[in-house]
Amino acid sequence: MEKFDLILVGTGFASSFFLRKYLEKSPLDNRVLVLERGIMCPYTERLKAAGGKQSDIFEKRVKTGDTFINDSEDKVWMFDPNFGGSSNCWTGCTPRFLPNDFKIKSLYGMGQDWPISYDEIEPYYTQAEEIMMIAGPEITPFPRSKPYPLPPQTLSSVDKLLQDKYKELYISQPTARATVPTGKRNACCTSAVCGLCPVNSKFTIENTLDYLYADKRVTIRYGSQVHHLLTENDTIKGVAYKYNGKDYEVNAEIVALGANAIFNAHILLNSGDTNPKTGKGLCEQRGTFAYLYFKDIDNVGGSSIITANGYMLYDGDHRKNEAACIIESSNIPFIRNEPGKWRKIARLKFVFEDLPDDNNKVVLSDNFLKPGVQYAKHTSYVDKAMKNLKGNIDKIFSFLPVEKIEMDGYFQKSEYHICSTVRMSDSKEEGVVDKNLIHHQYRNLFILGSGVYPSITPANPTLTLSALSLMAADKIF
Amino acid sequence: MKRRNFIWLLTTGAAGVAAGGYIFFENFEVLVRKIIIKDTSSLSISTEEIDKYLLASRENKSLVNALPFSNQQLLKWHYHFDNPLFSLPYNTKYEIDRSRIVGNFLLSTDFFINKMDATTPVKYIGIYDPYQKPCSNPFSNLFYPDA
Repeated sequence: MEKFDLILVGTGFASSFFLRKYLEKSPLDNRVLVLERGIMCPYTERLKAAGGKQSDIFEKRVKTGDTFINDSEDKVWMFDPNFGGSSNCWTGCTPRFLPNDFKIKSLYGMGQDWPISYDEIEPYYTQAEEIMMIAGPEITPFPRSKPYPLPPQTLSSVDKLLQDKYKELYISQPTARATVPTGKRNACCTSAVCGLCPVNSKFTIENTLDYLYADKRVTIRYGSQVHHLLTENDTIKGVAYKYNGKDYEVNAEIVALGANAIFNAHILLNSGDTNPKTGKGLCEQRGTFAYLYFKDIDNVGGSSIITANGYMLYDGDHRKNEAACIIESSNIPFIRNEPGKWRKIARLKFVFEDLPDDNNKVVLSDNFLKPGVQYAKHTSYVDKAMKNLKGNIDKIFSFLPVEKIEMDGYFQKSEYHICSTVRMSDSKEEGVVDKNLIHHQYRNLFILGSGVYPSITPANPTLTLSALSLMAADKIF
Repeated sequence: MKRRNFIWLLTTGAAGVAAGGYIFFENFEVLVRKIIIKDTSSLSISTEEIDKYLLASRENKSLVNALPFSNQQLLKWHYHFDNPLFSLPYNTKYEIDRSRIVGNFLLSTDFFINKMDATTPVKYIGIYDPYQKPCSNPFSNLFYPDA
């Protein structure tokens, strides 16, 4: 049977950032096998399809809906199961977590603390930001050891008023949408369809880290779906995968699962992992929109799709009772349907953290290649924050000349962030992996990605999971 | 029941069914045209420009694709029933969708590029599509560098 030093499952953020650090630190004769279940669907083909042209390659990509069985019609889980993973469809929002996010149990009595602190992950935040060439402001609500690599996106006229009022609690959103050309990426020009950037401004694995997969030490196999791990006592010997309808097995010294929070948990469950927390705690943020109608301010001049993040409802003692909330200021070309007031409007998204709940989970299904996803509901922690949202909006924005406020009053079906199915903890009773993302039982198995989050915070998870991958590889190799 | 009441009920019921059927099956493009004409009446726009937009929308199915069937129905019922004293439920959703329709049209003209000047005649310039024409968000810093 073939044997490798490392088998890496998946090619998204978690895998690619782990691989980058691993290759940086490992000998030149090491051998790495990367198993990617999807295909390589290049940016150019995606762009062709978005422009309404026929792309045979695009049609051949693995479709998200075909990969798992969703028990809930009201909850949607979004990701891209092809090369580059969700870097192909993310918006490129990269706020850091706040220091207090890592200790919400100690500070607020809610959820679970992380086994690491902000100070421990900070150097890796900086590295991840340099790799992604993040554009961000000078002043932020989280401490930084270095400035952002690229200048910030421009605030809109309304954002500027909010920043004047709230200072470091209202900032230009840190983002992987480049403000100046960098590498193979162009500067963002606010096309506002970032899922697939028309000018290739947004960081993707393909446009920045594709070289990792061309490294002589790396072999990549597409269309290869890992379904379980080969175990012997407390050691992982290798993986079993399906390629073109046939089963294969391959051995390795170390295995790293970097699929996503659904598939990593599913592979563990398929492998007979007995940790009681495996698969449990599935959650993501809940987001809702509100519209502010102004008497006499045109909301113009912002760059990028989301111009700013507001932290006015984020951290504080309110987290003892209700979920933290991050505010996103949207800059898509929405209008208000009133002559003379066309753009006297702001569209704000309020994104709440949730707490992992064991009743929401990834389970085995009748088809061993497809995980079942059971999601009952978000927790009351979110509902309490939603209940208070109108009052909070009135309070926060009352200094602006607001004519009226309209709220969606319902949650978006997805925030595109799948978290907490293989949580990180100090002990195996509380979670599945340790602070270095190594499985508590299988000490040569890394589990990567946002599935390890003990608590999810309201902030976008990608930067943090990328930093965690860098940190895990750096600490162990 | 008296014969007169029966006829009154029958007539009312038949009229209700006919009106409901008309609204339900009303051509969505016809409704969109009515909305655009009404909501942009304060601007200098000829119906020829609106029809150019509708023709292009029909060709690439952008109107139908932009709004799901349920949203189209919501628009139709609200449009015909709402008045200053009464509104059907889900009014916020209706207002947002209606703004979206008018917004999509105006984004396909030079109105926003001309900085929303209501006195300049508005011309159709092509369906707004960032994949055909990137960097064209008319509210961005590219168009308002000094905002």
